[in-house]
Amino acid sequence: MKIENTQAQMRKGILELCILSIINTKAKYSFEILEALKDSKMLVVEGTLYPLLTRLKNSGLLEYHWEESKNGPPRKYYTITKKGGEFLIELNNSWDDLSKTVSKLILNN
Amino acid sequence: MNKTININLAQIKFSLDEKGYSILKSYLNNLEQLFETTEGKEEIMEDIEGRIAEIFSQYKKYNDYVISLKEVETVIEKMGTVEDFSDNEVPKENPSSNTSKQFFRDPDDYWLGGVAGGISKYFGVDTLWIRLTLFILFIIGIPFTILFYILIWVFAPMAKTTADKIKMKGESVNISSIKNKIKEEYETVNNSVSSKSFRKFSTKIASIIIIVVKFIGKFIALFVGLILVLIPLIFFLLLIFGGLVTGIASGIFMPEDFLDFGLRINNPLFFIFGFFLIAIPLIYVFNLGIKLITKRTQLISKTTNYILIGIWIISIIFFIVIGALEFSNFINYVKTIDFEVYNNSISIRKVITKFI
Repeated sequence: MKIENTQAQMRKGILELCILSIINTKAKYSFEILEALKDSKMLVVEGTLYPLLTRLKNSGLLEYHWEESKNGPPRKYYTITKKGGEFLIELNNSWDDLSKTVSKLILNN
Repeated sequence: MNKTININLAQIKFSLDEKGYSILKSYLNNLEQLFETTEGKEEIMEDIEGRIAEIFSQYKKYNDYVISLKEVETVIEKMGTVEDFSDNEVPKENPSSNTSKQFFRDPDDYWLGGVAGGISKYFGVDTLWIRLTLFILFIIGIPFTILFYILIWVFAPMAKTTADKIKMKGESVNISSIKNKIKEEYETVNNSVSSKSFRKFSTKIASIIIIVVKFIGKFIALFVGLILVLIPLIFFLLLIFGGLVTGIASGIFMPEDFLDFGLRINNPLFFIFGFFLIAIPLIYVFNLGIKLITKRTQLISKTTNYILIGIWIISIIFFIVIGALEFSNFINYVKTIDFEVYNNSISIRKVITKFI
């Protein structure tokens, strides 16, 4: 059993929560989302973000608009939808619960 | 000195070093295959290409800058390898893209046309045994072996994509099988150098034979197709313009009783169902002819197909039922005529005897 796999599994579960939190206050384009995720070591490689964004978009949790860019192709700016906002609140709650109970469990043993 | 290749990524033109180009191309192809079953595949690919274009734009220091192999590799490293993607993606596995085997000629295992390779994959027998069998059959002097081989060669498709190759072996097409296959291919490319010179020679002969056979095949297909198209056309034309003519002709060629029967049928439904009974198969004959000529595959849609077959089956049933009813009527009619004739002759006889 590789520790990397377990760590990746742990991250995978909260990746959606992180992405939705990142775009919750302000529209961000994919690279900004990526930087934020990389800072917290949530993602190792860039490419894997795109399938995730598409999936969230198709589920109606986020939407995007195009903006021109001075260097390079136009960029997609992602914003959270109303449904996404509700989803995020739910996720936040369960994250709180989870981290509290898990910490407690670890401390007590 | 290096060749450069111009590409267009997310509507922006880039010049790439030849090696870098081929690496980027196979990378994008592999990703595309990886996302084959994922919802929103096009969008994901667009996003990835867009991001690559953005990074390339940063590398482009001046207008004619050529992006090097090293830069392409850096980008791929940044974006993540195919393995990174497949570890993260958990696509819904499509149950309909099942494990059913399909016959393909094997492009990785061939002497002439990959037919033996294809047969061996299809039946799961080692290629060597198939080749031996073919060879022995050929020695024994069965000319059909050659014909058989050439026919398969011409008509069976070559397994071109990775997905084809997986179907050829009858494995289900999913991420892990594609991943394994791609790995396998990288490895076999290096191993297969030995038999290359023979292959080059055989490939040349093979391509000549293929061209000739394909030409002859096309010619035959065109000819047969034309006949198949003409038969139904003539039938319908005759039916429209020559109903009378056929009526007379059938009078000449058919036994009198039979014609009598035909003329005595009053129920028009009998003829309508009879028409469908003949016309619908002819529509398929026509379709086959068109297919042979134009190579278009979907002339009759699935729904039309079902409707036509439905009408045809109903026509058979009604044709037989109405036919049987009419026939029994006809027999009764014949009996009454006979009876009348018999009666008349009796009465005539009576008259005659009276006179005598």
